[in-house]
Amino acid sequence: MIDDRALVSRIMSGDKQAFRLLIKQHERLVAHMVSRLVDRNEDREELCQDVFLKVYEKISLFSFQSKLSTWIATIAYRMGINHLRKKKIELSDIPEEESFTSHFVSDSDPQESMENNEIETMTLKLIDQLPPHYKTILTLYHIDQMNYAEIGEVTGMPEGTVKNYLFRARNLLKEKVKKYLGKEQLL
Amino acid sequence: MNDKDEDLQQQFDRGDFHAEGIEAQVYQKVFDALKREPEFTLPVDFADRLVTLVEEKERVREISRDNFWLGLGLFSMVITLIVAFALTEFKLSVGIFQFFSGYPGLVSFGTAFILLLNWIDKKIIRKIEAF
Repeated sequence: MIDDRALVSRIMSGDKQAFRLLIKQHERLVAHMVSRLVDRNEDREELCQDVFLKVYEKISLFSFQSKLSTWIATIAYRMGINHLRKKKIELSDIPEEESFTSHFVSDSDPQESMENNEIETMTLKLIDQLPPHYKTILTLYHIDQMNYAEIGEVTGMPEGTVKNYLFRARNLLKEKVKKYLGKEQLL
Repeated sequence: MNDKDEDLQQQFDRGDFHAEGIEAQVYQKVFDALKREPEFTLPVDFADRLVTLVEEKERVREISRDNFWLGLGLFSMVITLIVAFALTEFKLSVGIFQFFSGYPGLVSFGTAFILLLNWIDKKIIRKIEAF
């Protein structure tokens, strides 16, 4: 496999094949991040495209201070957040109020959900309801296997904050799933 | 979040999970869901389409750059002509065209030669450069 330095050098010299390779290597990472932040598939694909166009445009500025994947993830994160700001979507902290999961816990029919083995699906829906920063951190940590330092670099947050957000988000999800399962057992 | 939660989460993170009980079971479900990739995937030809888009953008940029230099060249030429006319007090007359009328063969050859050079440049030289 070609290393980051050689790949960047080839792209800078105008090698489109190398750029195609860069896209292939990182499209899953970008798709993971974008799909967690943006709802509509059309917007997701367009944003992924814009991310890679930005990568191509700015590749000469990449200074190898980090991994290429971290740098690309940083661009994807910033563009994702800007997209949300343009759409005036709230970037707030985790909501503590009960209404956060009421839609999934109270309004749905738990029995029906359980029959369809929907706990995982419900958890994924809860993840979708988390604020964007939390979703990004969870995705980068659990799916893209980044460490705290790399996630900190991508999001611009101190490592301690990343760790705290990660633990808080998982704890909140655990509490909500536990509540859901509790209701299920009462039926 | 209490120490027990932190401890459980760390055990899952390390992959050496031993605890039992409802808390642990729920965490197991949460961690399983977190590891599941989002369903959204990019089309298989995403990279190809993007490369084509980049090439198209570069082509447009190149044409714009060429047009800019052409415009600048024409502008410079006009300025130079104006300055030259002013400095030499040149008066335009039809005498020069009367001179050409004495050499119709030379004028025809010159025109045909310039056209040929342009045709060669367009059809052959630019194609070779493209490879």
